[in-house]
Amino acid sequence: MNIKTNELRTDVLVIGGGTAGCLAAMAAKQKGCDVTLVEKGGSIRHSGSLATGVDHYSAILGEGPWDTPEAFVNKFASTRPGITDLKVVSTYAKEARKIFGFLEEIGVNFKDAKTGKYYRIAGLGGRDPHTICFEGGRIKDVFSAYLGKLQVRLLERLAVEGLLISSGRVTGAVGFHIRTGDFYIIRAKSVVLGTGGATRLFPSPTGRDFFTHAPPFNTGDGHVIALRAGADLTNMEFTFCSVSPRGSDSPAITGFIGMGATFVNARGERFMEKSHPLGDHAPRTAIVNNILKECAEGRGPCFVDCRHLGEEAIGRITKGILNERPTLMDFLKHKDLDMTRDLIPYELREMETQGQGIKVDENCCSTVEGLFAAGDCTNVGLAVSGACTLGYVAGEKAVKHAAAIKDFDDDLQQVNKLRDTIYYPITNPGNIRPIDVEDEMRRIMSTWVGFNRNADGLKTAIKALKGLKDNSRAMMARSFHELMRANETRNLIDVAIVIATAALERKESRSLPAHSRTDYPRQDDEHWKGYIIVNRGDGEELKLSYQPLKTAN
Amino acid sequence: MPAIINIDKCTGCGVCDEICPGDIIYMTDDTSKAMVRYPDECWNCGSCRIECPEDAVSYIFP
Ligand SMILES: Cc1cc2nc3c(=O)[nH]c(=O)nc-3n(C[C@H](O)[C@H](O)[C@H](O)COP(=O)(O)OP(=O)(O)OC[C@H]3O[C@@H](n4cnc5c(N)ncnc54)[C@H](O)[C@@H]3O)c2cc1C
Ligand code: SF4
Ligand code: SF4
Repeated sequence: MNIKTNELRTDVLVIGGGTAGCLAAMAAKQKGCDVTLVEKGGSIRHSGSLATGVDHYSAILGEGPWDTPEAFVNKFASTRPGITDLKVVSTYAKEARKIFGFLEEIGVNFKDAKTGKYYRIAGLGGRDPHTICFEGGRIKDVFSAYLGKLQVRLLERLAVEGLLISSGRVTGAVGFHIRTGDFYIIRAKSVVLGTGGATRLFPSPTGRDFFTHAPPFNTGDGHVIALRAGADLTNMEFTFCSVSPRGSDSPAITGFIGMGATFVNARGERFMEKSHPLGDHAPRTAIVNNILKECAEGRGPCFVDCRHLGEEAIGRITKGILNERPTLMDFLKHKDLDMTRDLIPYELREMETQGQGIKVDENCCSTVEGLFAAGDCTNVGLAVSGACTLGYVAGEKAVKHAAAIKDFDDDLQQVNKLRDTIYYPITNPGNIRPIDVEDEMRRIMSTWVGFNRNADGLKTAIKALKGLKDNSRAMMARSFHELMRANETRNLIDVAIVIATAALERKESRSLPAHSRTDYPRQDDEHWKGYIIVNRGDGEELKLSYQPLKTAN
Repeated sequence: MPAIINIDKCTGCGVCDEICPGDIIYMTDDTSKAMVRYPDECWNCGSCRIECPEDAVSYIFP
């Protein structure tokens, strides 16, 4: 097969043109570096989680004693029961205001059209009104225009599938063009990963496995290439789960709850009020867990109730949906669901990985030198404002690191090995379609790695996933589009193995339903208040270690 | 259900093909129309409808 090879050099390579990646590229380019931004999708204007926009931005603006970086960090510690590195959260809190100002400067309009002020509400995870409602439907256009103005080199439809490493330091990445099949070798002094979470790991309750909450095209590619390059992953056992109107993909709960809607069970009871001190404003995991509980105890299904809300609130909810996920309005209409008249049935979404992953320090650096990461591919997700703020920080730190590196690496051995693996399904096509392998992975995950985990199930899952990984060598790709899917499937299996392995190791339950062990049903702070670190060591086998949390959590 | 393209309205401008985050839409061989080549992989995100200048894209949720 005749595949064209392109080789280029850049000071800072940013992988993933989503929220974090765009901000990292801006920060790096503003410092005068040569920057290349690579995106798998067709255009950064519609890629990643903000493909169709955003309506809520959590901000720290100093509008009251509750609105300071310190107050944010303290609250964060008390509302997030998972394992969180408060040092990284502190970096976010300290920088959040600056990056917010920067976004306004480049043209993001956070002000309310009616009042000319910020319209702030309490979202999930607290009762303080940190969240700004705004018309962010075109936010990626603003990012794209500014990146264009800065003349950042942009490579779209390019799927990155491997990192290059020399003497323990990252020296670039390789990937392929998903339409032409061209191979790309990008030599870099620093690399920033902004590849988002991992979706498509579990069957979607909509029945269509690409009709997911987070982008189905975020397949943990960054997690896997970082792991193969020697980076630590952590928190992987805590699978993220949200809720959405039954049969749709979009949660929209911040909008609903923030404007005064409430969760009710089949009896019309406001179950969140009695089960969590923050009531309907509880963290997402608590909402999910309580919906599960209501259903298990015979009080399901659960609904969002907006019927008591006035015209203004309903108008704002609608505007929010239109700015974030316009197809949800079609969905409600086609289902004849009228917010002012009907209860909206809510169901649990597929589990996914979002804000669990590459372990980063307060400089957004992974455990591999020169490899930075931000956003949903790291162990500190923090949604849009987290991805923007820490993405920007990662870009700045990447520049600083690049400045100390003199030469580009030119090793070809690794490159050739990676190239063979990437193109294998097209150069040596077997007889299995990637989608069939992927479906089997989802079945394994939902049977043994979902809500109710135990040691025997997890061991069975790991064995089955490893077998599937071996069998996946017989995947075939008949086009470069299919080659992209085959590589995604391979990455997803690796992510799945990491999740199951970490879940087997953590012998307690925590952050329900993110990690629920039927054989260890209690939270055990004495032994497990810390990170499970997954690393690949020198070989194929995963190495696990435990790192107690130093900061108060 | 994935994005649906009304081929009577589609002028073949190619914008939806260009911007789809999942590489789902391709132009027909003669480039005159857009088609949803991988309907099973569509995210239903709505990006192609936002961009289509001819209002040729719609969604049905049965
Ligand atoms: C529909 C939806 C609505 C949301 N609404 C809100 C909201 O209102 N407020 C809020 O605070 N949070 C919201 N969130 C969460 C928030 O958007 C995300 O947490 C955040 O945007 C994640 O940013 P990211 O850069 O990590 O990932 P993303 O923005 O998802 O970007 C990842 C990018 O990497 C690319 N990529 C992946 N793999 C590769 C590869 N191998 N090679 C090259 N590129 C690759 C992807 O194509 C994608 O463009 C929402 C999420 C979703 C899905
Ligand atoms: S954007 Fe609309 S008009 Fe243009 S090719 Fe797509 S469907 Fe046709
Ligand atoms: S709805 Fe989104 S994923 Fe589906 S074809 Fe349109 S742009 Fe692509």
